[in-house]
Amino acid sequence: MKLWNPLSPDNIKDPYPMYESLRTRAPIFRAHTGEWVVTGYSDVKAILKDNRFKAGNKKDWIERGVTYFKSKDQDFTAIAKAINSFVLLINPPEHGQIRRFIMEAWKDHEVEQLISENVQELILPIKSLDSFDAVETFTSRLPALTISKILGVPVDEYVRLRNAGRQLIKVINPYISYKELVLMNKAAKEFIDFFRELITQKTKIPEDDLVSNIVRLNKKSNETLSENQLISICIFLFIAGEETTISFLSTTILNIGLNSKLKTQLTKRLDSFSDKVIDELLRYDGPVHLLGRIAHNDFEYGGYNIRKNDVITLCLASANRDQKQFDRPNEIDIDRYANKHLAFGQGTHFCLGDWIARKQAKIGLTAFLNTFPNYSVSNRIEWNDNLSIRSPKELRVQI
Amino acid sequence: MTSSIEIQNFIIELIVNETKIDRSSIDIDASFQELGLDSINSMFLLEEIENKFQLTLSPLYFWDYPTIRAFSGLISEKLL
Repeated sequence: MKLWNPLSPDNIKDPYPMYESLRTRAPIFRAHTGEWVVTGYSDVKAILKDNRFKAGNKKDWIERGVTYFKSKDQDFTAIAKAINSFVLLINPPEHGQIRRFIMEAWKDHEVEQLISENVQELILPIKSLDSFDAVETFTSRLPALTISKILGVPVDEYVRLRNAGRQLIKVINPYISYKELVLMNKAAKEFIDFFRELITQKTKIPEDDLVSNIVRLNKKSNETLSENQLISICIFLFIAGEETTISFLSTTILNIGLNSKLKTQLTKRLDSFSDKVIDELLRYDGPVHLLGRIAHNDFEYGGYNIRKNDVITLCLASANRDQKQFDRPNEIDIDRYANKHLAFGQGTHFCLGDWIARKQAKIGLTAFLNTFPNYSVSNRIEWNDNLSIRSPKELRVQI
Repeated sequence: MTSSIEIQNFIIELIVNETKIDRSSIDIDASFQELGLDSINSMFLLEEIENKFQLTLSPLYFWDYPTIRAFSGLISEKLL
């Protein structure tokens, strides 16, 4: 049996036994797929903070893929263009410049009220149903609706962009098929055309939204960003919090639905989804399972010889279940103390949107549990075949 | 009915076209990496194989069945 088998349906359904056997037998494992798979808490954390391990292995890979497929008369340039300024995939000094730019543009944007309104808007049509798919009606709509309103995207476009976003985010998966590349390229084109148009429009008539702020800030900046960079930044802002939030809300509704003791505990609390509770839910079953890094040069790490351009797959969700770091790691303990989980990463690339992710989770889950205190779910779930950000295809909820 | 040999020949043909290795020097027990394939050109090959035999194959199979013999075996099993 192979220790590393991330696409087997059993492992996508429940990857934690695979992680545990890797942590026990080979916490730094050279997989048959060529990359290093790292599963222990201390190594994952150390590597996230170690700048010999660079971000952006998939960006390099896509760029090589674009060149290769040109010789086959297939054009995938839209993918490379769309992801070109994703902060997740770039390194200093460009990383710092773009990250600061986003933070400055986003400054003082009030979102709590907006999220509450969106949650109410989405819950209203499902409130009186006996049964519904929580992914289609709720968890996949909330992040796209929220970011659309923040960016200044017309509301009637958000479902179309949600679909394109769910396609394009597959670019961070460790293994991609040709057919997926074709679909990603189509999604990338859709995004590029859409945001090019929106940026032009907001340049002419700025409003009170994030895309207008981005345009304004860029105009007065000393280091002006190109139109392509701005488009890529907007695409990133749209999709970065999308699949992750869908995943976290869906798996959490599932995990609570399957655990009646936990559901009772949470219902009884005044503040059911306090920061501490959200942190424990993120630790237990956070959305980002795998994160890629690439070795900057030859060096030794933990007794292993790492070669330049080696790919390293960090298993964040595994680190968060490491018993060397957490007592009873496979239990949800909502009173867990000093929970230093790695669900949002660590170091230079620490998630830029952790605060908005937390707010959407808190407001969304609170409203869901208040509206449907007696909901139930079946554990016969079909999962998307994507372990990087793991999420159910559908989540049938009975009221 | 496609025999395992036909499948092997099809894959050999693809690899010859891709890598320009002399057909006579291709060892069906050599790993795809040794034959000069990587995670990018193997994706193209996988697509060609899927289209030829009307199958859906996981991108991981390239690593899980890393030789021409093993891969052909997998496909003939899938075609049964």
